[in-house]
Amino acid sequence: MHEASIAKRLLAQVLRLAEEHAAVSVETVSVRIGEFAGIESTLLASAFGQLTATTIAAGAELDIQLVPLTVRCTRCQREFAPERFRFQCENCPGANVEIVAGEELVLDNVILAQATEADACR
Amino acid sequence: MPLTRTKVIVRHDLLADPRAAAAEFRATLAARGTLVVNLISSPGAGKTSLLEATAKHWGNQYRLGVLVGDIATDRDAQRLAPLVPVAQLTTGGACHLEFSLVAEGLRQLDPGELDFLFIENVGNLVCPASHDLGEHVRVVLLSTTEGDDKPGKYPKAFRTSHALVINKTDLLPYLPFSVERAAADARLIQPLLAVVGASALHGDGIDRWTQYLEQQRQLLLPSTEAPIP
Repeated sequence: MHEASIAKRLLAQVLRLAEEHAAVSVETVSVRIGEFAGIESTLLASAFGQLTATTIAAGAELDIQLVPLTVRCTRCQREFAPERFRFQCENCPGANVEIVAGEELVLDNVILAQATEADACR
Repeated sequence: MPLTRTKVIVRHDLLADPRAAAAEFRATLAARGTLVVNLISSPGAGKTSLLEATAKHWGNQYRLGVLVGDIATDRDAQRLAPLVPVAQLTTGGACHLEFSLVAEGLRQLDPGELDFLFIENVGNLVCPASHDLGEHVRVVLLSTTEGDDKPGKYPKAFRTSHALVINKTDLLPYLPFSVERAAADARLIQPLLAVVGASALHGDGIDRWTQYLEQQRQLLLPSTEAPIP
C-alpha cells in the first residue's frame, strides 16, 4: 500500500497551487491514473480524503480518470491494449513492446474557490 | 463571502520528479563505474542469501556495498555486515523503498568508490515495482516454493525487471515447479528478461549470476576499460 505517500505528494502540489492562487478552498482535483501505474484508485481516494481533512482542500472532490494500458510493438509499430498484461504482439512473437500509455499519474487540473477581488481587498 | 471559481490547468506527471532524480543518480553512478542493482521479491525468496552467496563468491575481487530495506529489525543487515559494507534503511512501515531513502542510505554507507551497489528492497512483489530507485538493473527473485504461476500474477514486478533469478533450485525434486513454465510466463510479460536458476544456499548457479552482473557492469564502463577478448 503506497497510495498514502502518493496522496501526500498530490496534496502538497494541490496546496501549493491553492496558495499561489490565494484560494480559500479547493473544490475539485482531477487526476489521470494509468492502469499499469500500480496505483489503486479507491485507496488513493481514501488516503487523499483523510489527508485533506485538516487543510483548505477538505471536502474536495477527487476526480479520477483511468487511462488504459497501451503498448506499441517495436517491430511492426502496431499499438494495442495487451490482454491480461501479456506484452506480446500477435503478429510478431517474441518481439518487445514498449508502453506508450498507462503508467502515468497526472494532476490534470484543480478547481479553486477564491474570494472575489472586492472581498480580498478588505 | 462571494467566491469565484478558477480552473487551473496543471497537466503535471507527479511521478516525473522522483523519476528525474533517480535518472540523475543512475547517470552519476554509471560515470563512476558503479552498477546499481535493485533486488525485489516476495518475503523469504532469498534476497539476503543471494547477496551472501554473491559476496562469498567474489571475495575481495570487487568493492561491494549493500543498502538493505526493511520495515522493522536490522536482521538482514546483521547477516550481511561480516561480508560487505551495509547500511540499513528502515522504512517505518512502508512496504517498499523510495529513491529519497536510497540517497540517504548511500550517505550513511559513505562507501567511497564501489563496483557494485546492491539495494535489497522490502519483501513485496507489488509496490517496489512502481518505484525507480536509480538502479541500472532490476532483478526479481522468484523461489521455487512460491510456485511457477507467479509472474502473471505480479505483472509489473516482472515487466519492469531486467533479470529473473529463480532461487532454491535445490528443492526442485520435491516441488511441482517448472523453471521452463515460470520463465515462459515471465517472458510473456517481459520478452527481454534474462533468466538464471540458482540455489543461493548451496551455490549452484551463482557463477552464472555473477557473470551476468559483471557483463552488466561492463556495459557501463567506457569501451577502453572493457577486457580485451
